[in-house]
Amino acid sequence: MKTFEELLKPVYPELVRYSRAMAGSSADGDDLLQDALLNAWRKVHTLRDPDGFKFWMLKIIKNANISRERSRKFKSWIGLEAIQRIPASEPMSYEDKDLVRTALAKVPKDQREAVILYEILGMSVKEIAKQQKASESAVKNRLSRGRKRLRVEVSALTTLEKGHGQAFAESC
Amino acid sequence: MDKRLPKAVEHGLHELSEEQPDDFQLERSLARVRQHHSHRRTRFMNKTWIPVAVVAVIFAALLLIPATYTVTVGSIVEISIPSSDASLAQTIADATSDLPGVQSANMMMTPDGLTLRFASSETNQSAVKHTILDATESMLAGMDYDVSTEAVTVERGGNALAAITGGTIRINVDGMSDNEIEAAIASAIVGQGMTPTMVDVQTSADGTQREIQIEMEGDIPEGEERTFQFEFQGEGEGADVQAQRQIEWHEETE
Repeated sequence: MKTFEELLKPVYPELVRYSRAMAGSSADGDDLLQDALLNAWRKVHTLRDPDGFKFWMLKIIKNANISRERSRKFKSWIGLEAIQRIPASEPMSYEDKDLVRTALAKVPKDQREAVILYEILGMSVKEIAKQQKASESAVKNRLSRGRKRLRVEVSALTTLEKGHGQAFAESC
Repeated sequence: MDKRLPKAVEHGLHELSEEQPDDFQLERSLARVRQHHSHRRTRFMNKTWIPVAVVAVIFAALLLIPATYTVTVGSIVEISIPSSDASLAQTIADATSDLPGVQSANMMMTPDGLTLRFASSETNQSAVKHTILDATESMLAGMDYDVSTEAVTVERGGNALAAITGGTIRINVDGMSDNEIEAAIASAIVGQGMTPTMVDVQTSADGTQREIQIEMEGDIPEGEERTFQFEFQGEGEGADVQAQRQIEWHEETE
């Protein structure tokens, strides 16, 4: 019987990537993972299949993230009529990975998770379907929508940053 | 599936897929988990059987101990529609402006579609969802839309007793041994749909005090929260005493 540490070590880098991408930043992701590890440590005796430890942890991280996002209730949404009154923002500077991570945080959670599992963790559609308890066609749909939304969010972020915005526009 | 992503996005995703934690991050994480675990065996209840005065102190202490608890105060319903038709947005806005129980509606339009977000003080997410879908059914007919709901919660402070909302577990411990009390508590917890992970009852050497420690865990459905109240009733040497303490259980969904 493997210990918690033995189960965790081989999958830890993937859990870090997943947490950071789900949370939208390295710092928030590391805090999220720490919360999830505390929960996992308490519940590890309920884990039936040690081979499924990674997927079990991904679920715990996802749930911990949902709790965190709920606590940020009533995010500042802007009505259509108000959008035209937004003043020009100060330029922002992002590296590509930070840009994508920030944009991912704005993608709806199921779509976001599908994109992260597929693009960052390299999981197959079949594996994601099992993880999300959804059909493969639903996962494909989420991936497609998630990518589109990611592109929109990246575009929105890059319009705030002149240099990167130009690079982004050229790359499109 | 749309695989075309801008280069900046592709590059960013690739960087994220290659990202590695620093050399000591795992050890730091595990150290914090171990440290937390070693302090988490919380003394759940300290029950005094004989001196009524001491029992009164316990009650007073319970009333004064600040406790933070979470209350569900409303629901959010979000509908994503793959249409950027401004007239559709206006039609939906008109149709939903006077819906009962819906306090606010916001919308966000992107090149890929329209997202509508409704906030309600109704805590029954399903009821709010159906109210909104009923009102927009004809407008959304034939469209491949997504609907999601979430609870709106707020944290509130107050004394511990103020958090009671139900889920009372009563156990009369008259004439029961420590082991029998443990079994009764474990059984009652299971009866509440939870799993007792640790139940420990110990009577002090002089027989005047019983210490009861309880740890339990369980999955709470999304949007719900549960409060458990434990009441232990028993008879000491000529003095009927009763002590109670409740704990609010707010666990993440799984």
